[in-house]
Amino acid sequence: MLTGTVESTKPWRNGKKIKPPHLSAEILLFHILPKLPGKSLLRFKCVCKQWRSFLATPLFANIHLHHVTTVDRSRHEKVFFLHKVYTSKSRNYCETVDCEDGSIAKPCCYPFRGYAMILGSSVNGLLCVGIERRSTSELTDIILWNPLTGEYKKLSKPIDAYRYDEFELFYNCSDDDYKILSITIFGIVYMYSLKSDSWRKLESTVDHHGDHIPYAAASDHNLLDGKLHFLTGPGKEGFVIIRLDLKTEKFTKIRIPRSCRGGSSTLMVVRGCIELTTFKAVSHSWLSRRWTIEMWRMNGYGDWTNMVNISYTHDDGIRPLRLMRNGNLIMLTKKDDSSEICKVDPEKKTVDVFCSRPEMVFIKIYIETFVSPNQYGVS
Amino acid sequence: MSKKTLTLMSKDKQLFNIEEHLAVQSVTIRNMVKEDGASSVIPLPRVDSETLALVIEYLNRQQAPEEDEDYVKKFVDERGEIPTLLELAQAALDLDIKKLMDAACMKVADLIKDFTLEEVREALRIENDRTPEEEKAIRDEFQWAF
Repeated sequence: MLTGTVESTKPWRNGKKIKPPHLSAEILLFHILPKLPGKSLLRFKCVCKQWRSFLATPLFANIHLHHVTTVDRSRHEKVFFLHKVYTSKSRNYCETVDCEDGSIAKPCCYPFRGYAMILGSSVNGLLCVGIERRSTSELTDIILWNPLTGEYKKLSKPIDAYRYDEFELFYNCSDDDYKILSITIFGIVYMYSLKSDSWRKLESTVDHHGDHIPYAAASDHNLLDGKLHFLTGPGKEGFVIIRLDLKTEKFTKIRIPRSCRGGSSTLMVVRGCIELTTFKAVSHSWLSRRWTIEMWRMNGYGDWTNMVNISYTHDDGIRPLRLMRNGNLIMLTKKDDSSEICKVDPEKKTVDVFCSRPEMVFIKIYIETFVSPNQYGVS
Repeated sequence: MSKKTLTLMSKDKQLFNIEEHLAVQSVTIRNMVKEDGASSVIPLPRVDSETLALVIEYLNRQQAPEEDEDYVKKFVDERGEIPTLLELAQAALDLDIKKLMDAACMKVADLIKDFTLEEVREALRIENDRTPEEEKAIRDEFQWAF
């Protein structure tokens, strides 16, 4: 068989190698930069003028986002959390923990006054933050914020906002718009569009009112075939999936597998299927607590298939945050008076504590991107 | 029937033979073959012989499709020097061999992600055209990243 043979007798690897730089800008800007983590890219704005201006373009934000979400998601995932006690001096109000190596960062200065709560899911590196007046617990503003770049946008006020509304931030690629679905405690539904910076009321209502607590556990991959999926509950029927057809704007309810109803679940659209991951404490004594993790996949007809079952023991587990591709778990635990984020390897039975803080609130898995909340205009 | 062989010529005029069915993994070569049959030597005036030898080694791999992903990763891992990887990435871009280009760029990104600014400029041969004031402004804005 013929292989690649060098027909010349001249040795092609002799002495010191001198490489003339004839790299195209395309390689650097379009193929290397988008593969770098967000934090490195912030530093690399200083490398040269061309990088600085390119890194600020929506084009770059899109290429980087595409890479992060389709190729390399787990490497860009962080646990994001706020500290409950906020003083105006504190730069440490929000922190991120890397899901893979556990490194901790304190990103951009928290830009808002007042008490903040993260509403709904984090999508494409953006967080939907509700600002509450501390004295009255009144929701004064809703803000879309990218903690990596520090950019934010104050959204126009919803028509009627209640403290216990559900908010779901999602990205609709069919009209390239970020949207927020808000459901009031009376089941009335509003839809926000970032492009038009306005809210409108939908004709459909959700009939699961009164007996549920807000439970926004969808991830940023909750759109499938033009339908938005999110978990809600626990109501009379436990947790249910609510599906909103974005064309007809009608809601349907999907039951989740019986064994998942009592646990803490996350929902994700993976390769054209709905995947539900449920974490449950099955038994616990004074000494240890046994947890199970179940992963189920749903087909288009609402039939569920069990894909994964893992069980493990962990004493201080509160809530698993993420099941990693390698089978490791990112867990929220409680030790004495501190909250901890740690990585559990159920197979090797090892626990690495990534970070420990007295008060952690609004813990979300989020990815670092350069998506701008002001991409459709600054307000 | 014997398999058809193509001859590629590097920038420094060295000739390499490769079976056509392997060479056409490169979209650029595939188009050239389609257009004129490429009976003669295909010149690749931007690729040096050292890099072309690597590209050909890659194209000649005998991997089962399911192992291909790991193979290309290992292939670039073994050539962990940034200048070599950059040349390889550039050649793979010119020849339109997407998997190889992505893997080489990914490896470069991995290597440089914790570099200092000076190290990045040196590794990628970028001239520093920033004034210290401009650099300071960015440092101040994104202090936490430095």
